Formats: sequence, structure tokens, C-alpha cells
Amino acid sequence: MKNNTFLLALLCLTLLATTGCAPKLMTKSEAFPDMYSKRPLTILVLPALNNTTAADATELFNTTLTEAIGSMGYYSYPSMMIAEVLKQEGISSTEMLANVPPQKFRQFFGADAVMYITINKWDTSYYVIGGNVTVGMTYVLKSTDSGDILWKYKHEAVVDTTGSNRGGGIVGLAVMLVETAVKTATQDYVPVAKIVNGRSLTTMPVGKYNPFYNQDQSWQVVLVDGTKIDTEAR
Amino acid sequence: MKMRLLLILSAALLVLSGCVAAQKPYYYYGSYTASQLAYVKAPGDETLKQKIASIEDVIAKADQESTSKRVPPGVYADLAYLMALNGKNKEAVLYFNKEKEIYPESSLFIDKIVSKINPPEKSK
Repeated sequence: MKNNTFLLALLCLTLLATTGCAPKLMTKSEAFPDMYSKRPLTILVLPALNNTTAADATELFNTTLTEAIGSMGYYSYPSMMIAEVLKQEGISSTEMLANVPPQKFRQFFGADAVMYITINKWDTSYYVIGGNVTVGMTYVLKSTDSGDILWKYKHEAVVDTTGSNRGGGIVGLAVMLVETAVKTATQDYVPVAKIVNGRSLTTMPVGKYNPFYNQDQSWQVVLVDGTKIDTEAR
Repeated sequence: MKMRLLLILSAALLVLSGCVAAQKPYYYYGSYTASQLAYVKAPGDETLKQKIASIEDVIAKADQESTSKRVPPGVYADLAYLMALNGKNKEAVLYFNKEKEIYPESSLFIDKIVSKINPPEKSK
């Protein structure tokens, strides 16, 4: 009996995979071969470009980056100092940053690669009977040598802040509405941003300081859809 | 009977502590990110103090609480920068040099910052 169930499950999985219903995944080396040939050690993460109406998104989001990039095994420059050095070199806005050739960052910082992050979503959606918080980012890593894109990923995470109707009836509904309002108003964006960082950076080949350095080429963790980014728009 | 119980308990503790040790992160960050966030949300003396305290905690625990036994990239530099902002130039240079020591790839960048704190004497 048990064997039959297992075989049935296997058959279903195979069917799913062959009919393309399963999400398409690539290995790290399939998706980002240049990362393995260039092997950057130092990554300069520029202050994130904010494409949302939340004025504080960049400031809040930047605080998550030192730990996120450091954990991936790369040398990452402290974000406070990056802003300072850029100001000294005459670059005062993230819009200007997009126009600076990547090679300049090798000159200013000695960085092997530079990461451009765009915050696409930093939203709260509240519609009384439900709510959610959405955070979405696009990441592009360019070589400061050739200017080529070494890694890129786009991801969005949604946290549902809808309350639950436990009691049932009118009272239960009223409680749920209040819970939804409170949860939606108080949901912190940063933990959601960390989820996006986590999921996205998982697809990046790890750097020299990570224990899995040079062993992750065949990790099939890259969602193909996540790599489809219009990089010309940058 | 009691001896046997004691022995079993000690053995269990050893095994468990081994399990805990295996869970050590590569880098110990402590409350580094949280304190940075708190400072950004409400810049002031109190949050700055917390930030410095969390960095000092990361530095103190790096050896015991991480498998790399290193202070993570950028942390010494962060502290150095905070010292420089407060006019504590000697401490700043000390911590910047520590950053360079552990991560020599940061030299170009660190040297630039240090030269702004301690400009080379032009009279020479």
C-alpha cells in the first residue's frame, strides 16, 4: 500500500515537471556563469534607489544590507561610510549614481563589483476586511572591471495582515476588522524586506568567506522568473 | 543509582552542548542590524549609545560565538567612523587599521578615509 502511494506521488511530480506546472528553476552556474569566472571579493552596495512613495524606505532598507551581504561571504562596505565617500566625490543622489560608470567605483572604493538595488514596492494595502504589506526589490550586480552584469534578481514578498475571525458571528467579525486594522498599521516593513533579501541573495553564488564557496554551482535555487529583469531600464 | 543518573545527565549535556555549538553562525552579528535600524528611526544619543554597544558586543563575541572567529566585514570600520564623527581620531584610526588587518581588500577604501582624518603633512 505504502509503495503505491509513493509511486503515485512520484508520477504526479514527474507529470507536473514535464507539463511545466512546477516553477522553473535553474542552477546557480546556469543562471550566473560570469559570477564564477569573475569571482568578485569586494562588493559595494550603493544606497537603494527608491521607486516608491515611502520616503524612508531607502534609509530603513539600507540597514539590512551589511549583514545580508557579509553573510554571503563577500566583503561589504559599511553603508554609512559609502554615503559619506560618495558625497565627497560629488555624488549626492541615487539618481546620479545610476549614471556613474561601474569602473569609477573600483577607483573610489577598490570594489570588484557594485550592487544596484531598486525598491519597487514598500506598500501597505488595507481594504478593511483584509490587509497586507508588500516589499519588492530588484538587485543587479555589475563587475567594476567590465561593467557586465554578474548577478541579478527580482523578488517581492507579501505578508498578510488580515485578522482572523475566531468567534464567528457579528462579534467575531468586529474583532477581526479591528485586528486587521491594527496588524496592517503596525506591520514593520523591515522584516518583510529581510525576507526579500534572503530569498534573492540565496540565488547568488557565494563569496570567498562563505563555507560553501566554490561548491554551490549546481544548487538549483534560482527561479527563472526572478532573473527576467529589464536591465536597460536601469 | 545516583552516580549512574549523574553520568547519564552529564553525557546528555555534553551531547546537547555539542549540538548547540554546531549551530553557531559563520559571523556573529548580535543586535547590530536592529540597533542600526533603531538609530535610523530615531537618531539621538540613546540610540547611538545602543549602536556602539551592539558593535562592541559583536567584536567581543566574534571569537566565541562564530565559526569564522572573525569580526564581520565593515563592523570595525563602522565603529571607527562613529569615533571619527565624535572627534575621537586616535580610536578611529585604531579601528580602521583593525578592519584593514582582517580584510586587506578594504585597504584602498580605508586609507582614503584615514587620510581625511589624519591628512598627510604637506610641509614634508
